[in-house]
Amino acid sequence: MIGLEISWSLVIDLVVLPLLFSTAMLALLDPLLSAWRDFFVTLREPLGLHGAVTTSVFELGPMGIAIPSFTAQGYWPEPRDLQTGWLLTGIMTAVGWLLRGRALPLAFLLRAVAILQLSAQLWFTFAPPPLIYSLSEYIRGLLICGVILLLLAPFLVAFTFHIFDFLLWQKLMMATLLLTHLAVLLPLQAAVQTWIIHRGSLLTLPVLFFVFGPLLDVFVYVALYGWGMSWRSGGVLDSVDRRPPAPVLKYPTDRPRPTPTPRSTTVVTGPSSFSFLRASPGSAVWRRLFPERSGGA
Amino acid sequence: MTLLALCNIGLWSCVAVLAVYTGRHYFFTLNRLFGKHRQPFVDVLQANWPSLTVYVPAHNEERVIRDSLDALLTCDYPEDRLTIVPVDDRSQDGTRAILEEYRTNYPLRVVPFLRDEGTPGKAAALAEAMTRRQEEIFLVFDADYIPGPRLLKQLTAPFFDPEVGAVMGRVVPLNVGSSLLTRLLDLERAGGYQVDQQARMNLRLVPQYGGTVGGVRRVALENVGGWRVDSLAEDTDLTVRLVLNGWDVVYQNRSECYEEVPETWESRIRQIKRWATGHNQALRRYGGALLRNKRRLPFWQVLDGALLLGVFAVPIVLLLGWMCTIVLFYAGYPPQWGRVTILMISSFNTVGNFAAFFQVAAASRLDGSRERIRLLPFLFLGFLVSTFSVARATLSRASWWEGRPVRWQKTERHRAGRKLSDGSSGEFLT
Repeated sequence: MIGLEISWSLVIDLVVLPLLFSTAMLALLDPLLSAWRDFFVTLREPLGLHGAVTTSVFELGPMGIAIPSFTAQGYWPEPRDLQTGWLLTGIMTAVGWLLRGRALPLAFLLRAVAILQLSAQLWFTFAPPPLIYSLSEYIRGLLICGVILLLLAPFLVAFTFHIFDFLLWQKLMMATLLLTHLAVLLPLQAAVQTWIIHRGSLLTLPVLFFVFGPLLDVFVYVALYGWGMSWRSGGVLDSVDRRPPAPVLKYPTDRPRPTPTPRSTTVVTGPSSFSFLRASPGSAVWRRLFPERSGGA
Repeated sequence: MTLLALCNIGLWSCVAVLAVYTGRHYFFTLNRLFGKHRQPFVDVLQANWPSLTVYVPAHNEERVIRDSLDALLTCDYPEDRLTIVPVDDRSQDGTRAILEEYRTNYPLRVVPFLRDEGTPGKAAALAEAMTRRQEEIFLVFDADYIPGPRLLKQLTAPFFDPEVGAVMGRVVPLNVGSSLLTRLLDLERAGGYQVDQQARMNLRLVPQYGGTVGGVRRVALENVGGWRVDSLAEDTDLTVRLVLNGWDVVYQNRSECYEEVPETWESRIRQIKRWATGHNQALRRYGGALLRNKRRLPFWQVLDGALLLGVFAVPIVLLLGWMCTIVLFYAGYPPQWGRVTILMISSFNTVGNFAAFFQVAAASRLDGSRERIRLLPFLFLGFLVSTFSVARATLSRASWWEGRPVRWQKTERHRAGRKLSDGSSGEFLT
């Protein structure tokens, strides 16, 4: 049966490559976060965000990381926002129940989002202000989570992708692609969420957090990983395509039909002795199979 | 204790359970990729093959049963030692006419067993049909399954070992290209069989007898009390009883058989809800006995058996974890980023008919069907549907209480190209 072998090069790939990438990421963190800050500054006016872009320090072990965020505030939802929210929740629920057939997974997704939005609606209807999370604190948390993900991602890649027999450049490519993608996605994610919450009130925050927060980042990895795993490696796993694509609904029109009785198949018989009987005398299986012999065993 | 403290404990407990299942997936995949593979019976080509009965339980299967019987008749098992017994349980379509035709064309080789009374359902039908035959070894195929020519020998060979109570082959979807759903199910099946089942076989844990594409030794079945006719998952039920009584269950990865997977989401939901209900019934019946372990089974076998029985309770754990997360989020106690991230990653890793994305990708590469892995992110859709459907089934009364009558829970068939009893051509049902 086909499989892989543990080798020194594999161990190196599993240990050295992620360490290299994580160290490089750590070294590049300051310029990267500086670039994110510049990006936020550039976007602030076009997005109509009040306030400014600030930087706060997050302590990660002995290191201090300067996390940029907007000072724009998300406001407590007004009655009009709540009414709009109820309407949207109702529409999502209705569409979620109406969709059938091939769109059923979308229906489940809509229902799940509707439940989350319902929780937000109830909270903001009955709870007294303020919400414990301010917009800037929320975005800061999102980016801190993203930075931690950036530092851990090389190890995730190593233990799910590098263990396969891909070529070195493919392993390097996969890690680079993921880190680059996250480095671009995270500030975009933060900017878009800031704009939505600033415009649409804090009512939108829970769904953004639960659906379009870290879950989206993980989903990005799954998508990239799926693509990467489809690359031809030239290794043992690609030596031959062992299972050809199954024919679609053609069987058995192209397979010979059985001939009616009396004889249609060849009788194959062989020696009657077998060498792999494993029941040991006295065992439970032995007693069950040979009760007449178990007394003397 | 406050609600928040309860939610905090609840969330950590859920994350711990999900982490155990995630670790299990990862460990199984590593074993399949790098471990030593056990396939002790795969090279048995010549032997004094025993008399064999192949049961094909059927209930309204006119679309598919011809294909299955034709394939069985062209298998290379010695003709004078093979009897095919289609078991028709109160079909109302053209299934019986087809079986009569085969009885006429292949006398002594195809011996249909027709029933109109008694408890309905696959297990009950099999139990009654078995009283009419005496063969020691029997195989079971669902009516939509199409075995390859050598499959019967491959599945019979492990029974030369007297400790083997049941054998399971590999299920491969036949209608992969029909829809997105069938492609996703192909990925899930690959993960479940190529990695999960084979790793369990390698590690001498608990490979699962799946109720089809497999066989059982009569004496083993009688030893554990026969078929349970009140179970919705008679296969899981039997697997656990065999293991509890010291019998081996063998998985044969090379023994591939082709099946028709559901082509519509509605059909898939019904199927997985049935599996979940039956699986949970087995958990309720045998979970305690397995953990008490009076037979002194190896620890790892007990652990694997317990995790196998609990697999359809995982979506409930996942949803509970999400509920705790939502409560803690609104309470703002304490900052949730770390735990939520773990929960979300675990969500991806755990749910989905025990075929997480890493396991699925590894299985597809082992199969040489690497281009199919590009669909991996879409598995999220399948996981989402499965999570809610399984959770609903798990919370149902049938999962945990006795007394509900068992009836035929049939998966819709979609195969085209056959003239049906109602005169239609048997095109897609959707």
